Amino acid sequence: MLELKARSTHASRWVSSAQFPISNSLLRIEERPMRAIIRLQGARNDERFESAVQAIVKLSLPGNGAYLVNGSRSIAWVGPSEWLLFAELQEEAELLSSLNQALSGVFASATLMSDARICLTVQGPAAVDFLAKGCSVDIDPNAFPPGRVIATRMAQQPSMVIHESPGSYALYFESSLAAFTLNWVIECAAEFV
Amino acid sequence: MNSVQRYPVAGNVLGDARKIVNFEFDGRAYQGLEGDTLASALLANGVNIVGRSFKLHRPRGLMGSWVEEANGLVQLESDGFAEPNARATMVMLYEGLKARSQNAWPNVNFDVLGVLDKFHRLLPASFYYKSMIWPTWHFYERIVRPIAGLGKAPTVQDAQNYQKRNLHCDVLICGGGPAGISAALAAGRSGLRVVLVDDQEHFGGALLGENHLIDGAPALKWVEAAIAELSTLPHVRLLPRTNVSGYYENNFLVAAERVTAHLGPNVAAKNARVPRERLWRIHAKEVILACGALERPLVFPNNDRPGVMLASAVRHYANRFGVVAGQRLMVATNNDSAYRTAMDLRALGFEAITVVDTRPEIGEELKRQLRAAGIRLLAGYGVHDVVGKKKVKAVQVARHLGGGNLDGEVSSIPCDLLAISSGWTPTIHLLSQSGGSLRYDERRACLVPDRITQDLQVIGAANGDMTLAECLITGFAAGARAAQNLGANGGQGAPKWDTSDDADPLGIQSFWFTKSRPTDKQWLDFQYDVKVSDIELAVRENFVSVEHVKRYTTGGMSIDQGKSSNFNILAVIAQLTGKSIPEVGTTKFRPPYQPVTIGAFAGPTTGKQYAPWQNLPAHEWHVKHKAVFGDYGWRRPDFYPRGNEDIHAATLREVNAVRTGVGMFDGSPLGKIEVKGQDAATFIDRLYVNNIASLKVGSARYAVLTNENGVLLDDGIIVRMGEEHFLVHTTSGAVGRMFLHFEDYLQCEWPDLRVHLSNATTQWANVTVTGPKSRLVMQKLDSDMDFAGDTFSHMQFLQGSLVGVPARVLRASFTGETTYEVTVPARYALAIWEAVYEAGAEFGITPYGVEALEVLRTEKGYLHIGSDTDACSNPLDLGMGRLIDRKPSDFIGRRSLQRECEQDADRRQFVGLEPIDTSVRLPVGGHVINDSRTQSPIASQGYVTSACFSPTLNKHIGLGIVKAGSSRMGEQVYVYSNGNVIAARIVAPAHFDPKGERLNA
Repeated sequence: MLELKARSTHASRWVSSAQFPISNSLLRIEERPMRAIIRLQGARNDERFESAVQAIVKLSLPGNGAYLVNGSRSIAWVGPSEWLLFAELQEEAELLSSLNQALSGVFASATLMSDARICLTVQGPAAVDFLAKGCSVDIDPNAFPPGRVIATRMAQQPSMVIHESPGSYALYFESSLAAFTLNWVIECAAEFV
Repeated sequence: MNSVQRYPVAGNVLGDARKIVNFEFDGRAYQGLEGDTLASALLANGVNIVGRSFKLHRPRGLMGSWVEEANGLVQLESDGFAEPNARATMVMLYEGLKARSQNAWPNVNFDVLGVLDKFHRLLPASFYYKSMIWPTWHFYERIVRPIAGLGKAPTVQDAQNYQKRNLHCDVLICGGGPAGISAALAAGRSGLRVVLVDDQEHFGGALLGENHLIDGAPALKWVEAAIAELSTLPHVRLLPRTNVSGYYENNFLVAAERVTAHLGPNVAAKNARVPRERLWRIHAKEVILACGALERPLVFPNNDRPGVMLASAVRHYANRFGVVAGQRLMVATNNDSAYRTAMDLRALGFEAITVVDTRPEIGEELKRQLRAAGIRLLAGYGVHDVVGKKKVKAVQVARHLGGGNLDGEVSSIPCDLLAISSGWTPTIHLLSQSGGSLRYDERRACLVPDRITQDLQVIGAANGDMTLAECLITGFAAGARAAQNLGANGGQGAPKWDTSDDADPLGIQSFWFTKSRPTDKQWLDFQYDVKVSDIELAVRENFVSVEHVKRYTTGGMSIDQGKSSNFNILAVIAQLTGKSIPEVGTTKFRPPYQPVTIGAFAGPTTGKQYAPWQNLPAHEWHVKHKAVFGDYGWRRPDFYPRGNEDIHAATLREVNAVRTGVGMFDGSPLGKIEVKGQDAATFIDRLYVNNIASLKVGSARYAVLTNENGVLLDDGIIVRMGEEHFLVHTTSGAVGRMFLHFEDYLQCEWPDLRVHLSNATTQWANVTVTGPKSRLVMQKLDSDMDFAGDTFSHMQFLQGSLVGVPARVLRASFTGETTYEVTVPARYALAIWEAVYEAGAEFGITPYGVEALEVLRTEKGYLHIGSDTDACSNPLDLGMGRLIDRKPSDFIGRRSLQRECEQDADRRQFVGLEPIDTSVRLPVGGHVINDSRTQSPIASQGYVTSACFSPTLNKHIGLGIVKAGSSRMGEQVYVYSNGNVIAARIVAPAHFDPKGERLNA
């Protein structure tokens, strides 16, 4: 029987391997292969929603601008009633169906988003300077410490920036804009050598 | 031209031995010294004339030493490195620099158009408004443009790269002179994020060109120590070579840094990865402006001759660069500050120095100093005229009788360098941009900051505090205050500085122009050739507002932007109109303070990176099948040519394949908004015109929505996936704004509705299988879904597994054929395209692009909102009146649709059109008219909105919106376009299969 092959990265589709990933003493930028992303929407004070997420994901819903991690799972705050859940791809279907089951009858929803985003990780001494080229928010580590997330404009498009661990950032972009975004990254990273 | 003697430079910033630097000006080779600007190197080589003036082509020499320079505009380098209108005073000399003068032919020393100066009386301010009327301005434009004008725009693409970066800080200090440095020390020591910006190569500001002492040592030693300390502070960022050009709201400022621009093309080419310039977007909590002050020229006849320079410039060239562009100096002033020029040059050994002062009384201490130095003083004298055309030869002076009137008795004093000063103008451009206001300071005869509207302080000379002691003390206090405002402990241990310059440096008595002399040779704006006579003309012609005078005379416009000329102009207006300077007011200062290259503003957003574009998830498949792509925000296949097919042949083949066999189309961009929650049906029912509440689970319905005026916004298919779960399809290009529209209503109008919205457009990849044989293809794919026509009919929806992956399949059609819109998670995009193509191979499955889709939907009369509707079209114009009548609930736009005008039978309604001669193409955009005669006026009945050749019907067809169209079926009308008239007939929109029998075939 024919088996459909899933794509897990975008970079090789749009840019040459000589240009990307970027790796030098100042900056390391690479693409994180596809992981599960589930959009959670619900009311923060809805106990059934929070406890359903806690029970299934083993993580509580982070507060404003926060990013919580438990093993391979993490949740990023997006807005007052919206979060993104990240997990291993193998868990995707099961997480989605158990969340949908648990949230039935609750004013809350879980929507599959894994394919709609591309994730780039940024590390290195020039990481903050590089990020400052794409977005207007203050990403100085004092203002934007590890464990914080922000939805903002980066590289002329809506994006999400997560300070995952000290000096290590994850950027999420719209996947259909991957070619534009990767070219932007290559151009803007060029001065950091 | 012989090079002149070089003197040791002040402060020893550059060390003793200055290396020789080779450069070229107007094709001639010269040598300068390390640390020179192009301007100082030209002066050192005895180059007196650096350009010609804008209008009258008068020979011009350098008059300033930095940003105030109005004459020394040069064309720098060539090809990909060309930069027009570079100020020679701001270009640091680098090895191999090549520059050319501007606005002169064949050269600056002999310029053919120099003859224009003889006709200056015919060319007063705005003469072109009065003379270049017949036949049209454009007749003269070709002649005038090359004559008047500055540098030449580069003709090839810029070879360098430009970048942008955001910068957040607690305290931003603009200006790295004594006040700014002192403020940076006070704020920086508190540990705050402090940024100190200066547009020069080195920090120090005016101190770079003065012989001041701080605590007994040269002031530059103090600068050196302070900068050394600041560079050790971890949160302090020093940005030299950076021009703060704009000050906007919320303490947001923009600055352009010359990263490698000052090194020239040779170095830049080696460091191609490093940007030439960087645009800093600075977000500051507190701003301190320490931008200094600019000296004003004294106004007298021929004050623009080469060899006439600002007194501060003469001094700075001597002290900073070791260059004096003459042997016999005269200083002409109305204030004390210019005396320093005489004293500094005397200290270098110059003799025969004369100071001409329009003030009758001079302070005793100054007089004593001059006497001691052997400098001749003519107190109470003014300049009658300047002798010498291409270089000052002598200056005629006469007694100043007061009020700008000179005595008739004239004496001539030989000199070759005339240093002039009419006081100082604080550099308040950024303050004015920030929204602050100015007040006139009578004592110092200048505008100083008054009202402050942002978190901002102005210090030092920019605040009118001209002495070094004031700059240091107020600077430190401002830095401390900024830190305290932010809750930090700033300004610890305020030092007491002992400075050599602590007396009021001005003692100015204004002398705005020489009234008793002809005013048509007294220059105000050197660059644009604006003289006192031009202001007189404007005033005579009743221009009252300073803004109008500026536009009419062009005074203070162009690169100068109110630096050297602005204040003199408004003072002259005041004199001529008998008003006070505050009554005249000042022009509004707008960004940029200094010119910023377009490249810096653009940054990396050029060429293909100009704007983001979207790619289809199965892009590679389309590339492999030779698709020709079009830009729709998304890059989508327009058609897939085979062999030598052109766009028409390929499109006809693709349309035929869909009508007779099976085609496949990438509809991935189609907007997909998931609407979930207990009130999902209510929410959509309120937004959409069509009744959604009655939609059954597993079914789909075509629907349109309108704004509150009843105007059509978008249309699409709405699927009810569950009782509380809808999938709303929007037009591909409209999903962004539709999602915002939904969110707007949900968050602002109906926050009580329990609805969650999720834009899932790019989560899913689509392959649309359509045509009489589409079912056969679908049934070949392994699936748990039953695609048989009797169980899965038009406007039905299924979810299940397709070739082993989760899939959604919708029976909806934009082609008029049996259609399966298949979506799978985008990760499988390429794989599903390959699988469907393989399954369809035996049926001749044909990929088709947007071009074919346009033909297919036009044949069917399916409208495209925005193409076949305009900003007035409502659902009634589409014939949806009965549907609206039957909808039980309210929706956005319903109220408006009840207005008489919305229901008028004469509105433009959506119809089909076909040419009487079916071999003629209907012109899209062509107006529908009732008569074949085209004498105006002709009433437009509407216009053609879509048109194509229909291979299915073998004739040309079209769609349009026509006045009362739906009641004029069969009527003959005419289509007018570009002078041609085509006879056409109004028909129903559905040209093909009007009953829709093929959808469920």
